[in-house]
Amino acid sequence: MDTLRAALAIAGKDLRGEARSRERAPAMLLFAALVLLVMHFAVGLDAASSEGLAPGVLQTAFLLAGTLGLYRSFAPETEAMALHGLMLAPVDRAAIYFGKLLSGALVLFLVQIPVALLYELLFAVNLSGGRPVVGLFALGLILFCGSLGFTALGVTVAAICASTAAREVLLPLLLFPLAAPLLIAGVSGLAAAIAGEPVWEAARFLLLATAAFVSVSWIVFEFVLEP
Amino acid sequence: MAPEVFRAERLTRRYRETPVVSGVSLRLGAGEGVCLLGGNGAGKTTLLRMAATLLPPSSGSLFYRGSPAAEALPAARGRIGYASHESLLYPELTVRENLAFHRRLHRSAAALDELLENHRLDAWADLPARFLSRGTAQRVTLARALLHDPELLLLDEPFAGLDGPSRDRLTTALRRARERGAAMLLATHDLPRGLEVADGALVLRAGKAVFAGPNADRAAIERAYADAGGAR
Repeated sequence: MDTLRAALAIAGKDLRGEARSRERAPAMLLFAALVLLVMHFAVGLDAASSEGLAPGVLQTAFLLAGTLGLYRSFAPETEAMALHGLMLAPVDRAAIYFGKLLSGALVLFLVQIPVALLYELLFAVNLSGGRPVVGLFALGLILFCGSLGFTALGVTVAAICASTAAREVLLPLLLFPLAAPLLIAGVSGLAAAIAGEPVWEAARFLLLATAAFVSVSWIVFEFVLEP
Repeated sequence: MAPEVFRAERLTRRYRETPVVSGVSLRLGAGEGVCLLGGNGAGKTTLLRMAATLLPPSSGSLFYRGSPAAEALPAARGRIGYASHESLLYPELTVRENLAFHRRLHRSAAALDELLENHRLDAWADLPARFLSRGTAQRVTLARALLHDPELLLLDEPFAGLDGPSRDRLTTALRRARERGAAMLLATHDLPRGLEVADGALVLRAGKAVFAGPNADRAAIERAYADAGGAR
């Protein structure tokens, strides 16, 4: 209970700081929009191809924007060494992980929504598979589970990299191979949502992957933060 | 002898092969205060960071309430009040939010308004830490370090950046903390002020303890401090 309360305090602190500084979400949003633009010119997205390519293009944009967000996830802790204050608090180190997971997943999910809308507007694709309520729910579910899984993995990797001099290089090198299963499941889930098919299988895989990342992180996070 | 709060035995920290702190031993009982003196690079900050468990020693042992660090942690961490050169504040949060956040993590019952008033921070309470002057940020840092009534105070240059009245208030706050049984290790270049709040001094030179003695040996402390490269 104490861990949960501390995690909520840390997540609340992060979200409040983000709402005030607007350093992370707008940059992620802009970056994801730029990825869509680059993909438009690189692979020639048009009315005919945009529907088939949507899952891959969108998941690539989310992966890159999510990585940008992870770079900033420990910035409030390192800017004035606030992490030392956090480490001396009588709370389980897992609370720091869960706090970062909650705030990071929420920010990523909230960034994904306008990016998906932008894709619909730019390329005239119906991402909800023509089913206003069920389709939107399926799309939202895949985006939410994807955010959760990516952040569950990313927070631990970002914490490992945060104290290294080469963190900008190290983070994607460690993260992308580990995130590959999430990317594949996310693409398949989005494809199912666009085609109006059930998304449960992809959602289940994403949740199982999240559970696996959370379990491992719960154990290792204490050692990751240990000086 | 006061019950032991903190003890360091032959504490050593090397960066690569260079020793920054070499074989320093120290004991702090409840209500006792030691002023850590030395020139720049003497190892004061490194010693404090090791005592705060934020930096592992290369060799030597740390004890909290008589238990080795391996057994005492993580519980002992919550009983430490630590202030360093860095503010340890969240720049985007206001002064009140920063203190409220730490109060929540420490499950402290301290009244926030009272805390702000005691540290004369009321006027800045709703200002993000990013906009604070160095001295005001230092006062918030000290308020944060003291808010959970820690039993071990580890303070690195706590008087730096403070104006006269703020120094006086901090001196009073530290005396009160010691009266209620807190042990204190305080690194400073302000020798008179440091000795005012401590019982004795430990002088470091090139990472080694070159002098340890009570305040009564004021002349010896001043001599050792001058020899160690600090201003007399």
